[in-house]
Amino acid sequence: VAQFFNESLLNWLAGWFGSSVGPNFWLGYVLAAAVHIILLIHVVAVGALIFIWLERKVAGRIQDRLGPTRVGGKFGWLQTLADGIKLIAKEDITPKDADPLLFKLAPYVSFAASFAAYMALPFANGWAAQEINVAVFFIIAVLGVEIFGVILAGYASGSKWSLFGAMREAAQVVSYEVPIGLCVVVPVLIVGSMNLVTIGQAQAGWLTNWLIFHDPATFLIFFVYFTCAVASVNRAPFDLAEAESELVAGFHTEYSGLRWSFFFMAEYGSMFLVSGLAAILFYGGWNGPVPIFSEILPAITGWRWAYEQGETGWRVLGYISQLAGVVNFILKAVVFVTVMMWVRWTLPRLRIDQVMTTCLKYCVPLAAIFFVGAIAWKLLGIPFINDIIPHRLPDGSPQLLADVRENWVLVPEPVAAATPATEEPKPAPAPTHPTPAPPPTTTTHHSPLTTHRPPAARLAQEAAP
Amino acid sequence: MILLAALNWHSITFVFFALVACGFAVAVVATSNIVRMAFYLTLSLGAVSGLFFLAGAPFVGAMQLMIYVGGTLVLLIFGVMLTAQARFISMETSGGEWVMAAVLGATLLGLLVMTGYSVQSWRQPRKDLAAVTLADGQTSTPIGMALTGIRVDKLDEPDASRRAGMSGYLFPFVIISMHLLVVLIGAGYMARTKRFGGAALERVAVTEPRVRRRSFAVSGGLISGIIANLVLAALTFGYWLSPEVKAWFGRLNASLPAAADWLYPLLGGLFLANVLLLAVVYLWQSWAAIGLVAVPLFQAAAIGNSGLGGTAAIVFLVLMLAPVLLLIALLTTGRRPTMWEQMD
Repeated sequence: VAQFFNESLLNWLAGWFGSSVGPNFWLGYVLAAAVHIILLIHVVAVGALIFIWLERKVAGRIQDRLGPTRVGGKFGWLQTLADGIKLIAKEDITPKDADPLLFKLAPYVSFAASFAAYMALPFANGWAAQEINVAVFFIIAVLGVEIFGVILAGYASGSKWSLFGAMREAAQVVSYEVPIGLCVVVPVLIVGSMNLVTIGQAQAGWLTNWLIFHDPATFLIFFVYFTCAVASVNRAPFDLAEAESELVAGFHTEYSGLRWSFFFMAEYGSMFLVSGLAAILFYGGWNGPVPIFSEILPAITGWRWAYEQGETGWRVLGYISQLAGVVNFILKAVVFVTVMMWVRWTLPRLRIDQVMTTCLKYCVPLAAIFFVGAIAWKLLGIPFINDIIPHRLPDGSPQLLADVRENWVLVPEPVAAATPATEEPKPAPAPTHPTPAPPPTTTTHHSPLTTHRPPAARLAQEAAP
Repeated sequence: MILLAALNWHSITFVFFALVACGFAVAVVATSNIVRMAFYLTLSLGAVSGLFFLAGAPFVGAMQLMIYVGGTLVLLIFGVMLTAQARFISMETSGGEWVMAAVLGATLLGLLVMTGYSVQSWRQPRKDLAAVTLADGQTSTPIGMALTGIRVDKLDEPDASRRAGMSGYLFPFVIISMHLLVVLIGAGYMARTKRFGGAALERVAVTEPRVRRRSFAVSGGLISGIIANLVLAALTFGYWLSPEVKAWFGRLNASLPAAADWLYPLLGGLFLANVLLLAVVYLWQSWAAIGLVAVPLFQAAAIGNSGLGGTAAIVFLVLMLAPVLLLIALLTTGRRPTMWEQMD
């Protein structure tokens, strides 16, 4: 993106002054970074606006009333904006007993952590601010930082309510990181990569290719993941930290105005984030249920639509398919967010010991059992819904799952030296191995996984025993 | 503009992260409020993870975030818990502590600086700086493979002697994870609520310790059983290990057919298990009697399958089961309450 800015926009502007810029000019990089950040801030902030409105409507419908109806015309859809203006106009109070520095910083810590996790979240094939190859791990790690803000807020407020709320939240989130980590590992294990783009692309094709249909254990572990995700973003029925019936408002009792709203932006941001993670890990990410852009339209029109992974050129058709992917992804994430709201307004709040019991006695053992189940299923190679319509790449090779992990074995040095191309593994003969993962036989850019092979590709593919 | 273009933005980001890390590290020392300290420590460690990301090691960076920043989080929680009673306690540091800390810190700093300067290649800029490409961050697969036992990075080693030893870190990895698991379970066990059922507690308090009596026959049977099984185990192991004992047996009965090699350690181990079970019965546990019946059955099955023949197995079974059945009969009969009834 930076080079695109430099070569097209900045070079053109510099031409006015009779100079030119190279492709690595610094301003292009700054602009590219700014574009990414502005887009992501809009996802979090505008997302929060819409989700708060949605929450009110959902809550209203569940409680048999209408929710906001007046502000902004028909559905009250400007209600949140009106609230926002009200919040900006409110006085920003710091209590007398508070630790002023930490009290002021806490909302930003929360928001920054929630926002930083978006850096690694892809919205379509390759459309991530930073495509890092340990994106799953990064997101889980950064999400854990978010409760720093909550604990600081609880401590610095100088209020018993806040402190109680913060300590509950700390205990809860630290506990729920264990089962969430176990759940997230299963798709990583099936695909063989921690790169979210790779995980998403591995599920391209018909909806039977989504990992949730990979095996029964993965199907079940999604529900464990979702439960833990609801708990880790501190939503009802796990919202002990702000239990308004007992703790006034928990950790944000003393906050008002815009600082208070930062906590809410962080909360809704995290909700969307864990939902998006669920969409990518289990529900195909940006791939729709029907492969319109990758299979149907190319078959009808004869043109190439969807981008391959790692493709950098600019094509209008590819751009359209990417936009459709973004819509797909956001729709899936919004569905999960809506389910979270539905859960919130349906179930009563748990007690703190029940929250802990849910985590330690139910979620962790279930996650562990399903984890073993998913491994066993993979090991035994029993067919499941995934295998009804096996995804075919353009050259006819089947869907690549766990290609990175499965068949990489070391070969002796002379053979390795004889393997010329590091990026192209030798085509393996049809394996008798249960896992249907022979490598693509043709050029590299047909394989979504090729760019993520280990650098030392003197590892070669070997026929399975 | 030209000046800015000449700058190396990579080093500027590096300097920024390094300054944040060092600055907040100093702030940790300078603050007296423990929660603020923990907060500054978080920022410092987070900046270090930024350095890792900058160096193209996102896995280590994310690890840093997870372990160190997450660990500081727990520290923060403890800080809050400890200081929540009196608000915003300042930690007073005495002069002696300052001196000790300064000596310790200066020593470590001196060591690190000396080590850093002793590396020749770190003291001068690289000649081929233009040719260096920034790491693409594809490092997690080699790390993962090294942890599961294959060092793919060693394939790139030009020196053949250092290329040897492709084994990875599977063993330390498993050891560490088992260790952590044990620590986890131990912590959970020690921190559990010690809650006894009210009724159970009362019963323990009220009833007197029962006076349990062993008849002489049972005691003698158990002790002689233990001795006999020990002797049998010693003989079996001796037959297996020592040629002299084997030769002695051969003189005793020349017609003894040869059994499979695996039989003798198995048989000896089971005799030892019998010793254990008899001791358990002696300590008033009735479940061991089941084991006392099961072990001869196992042994007979092993003998039958080892080439000694079915007759030998049946003879062995009868010889072994007879005293066991006698023992159980002694336990269950006699004056009430019988020993069996007194057992746990």
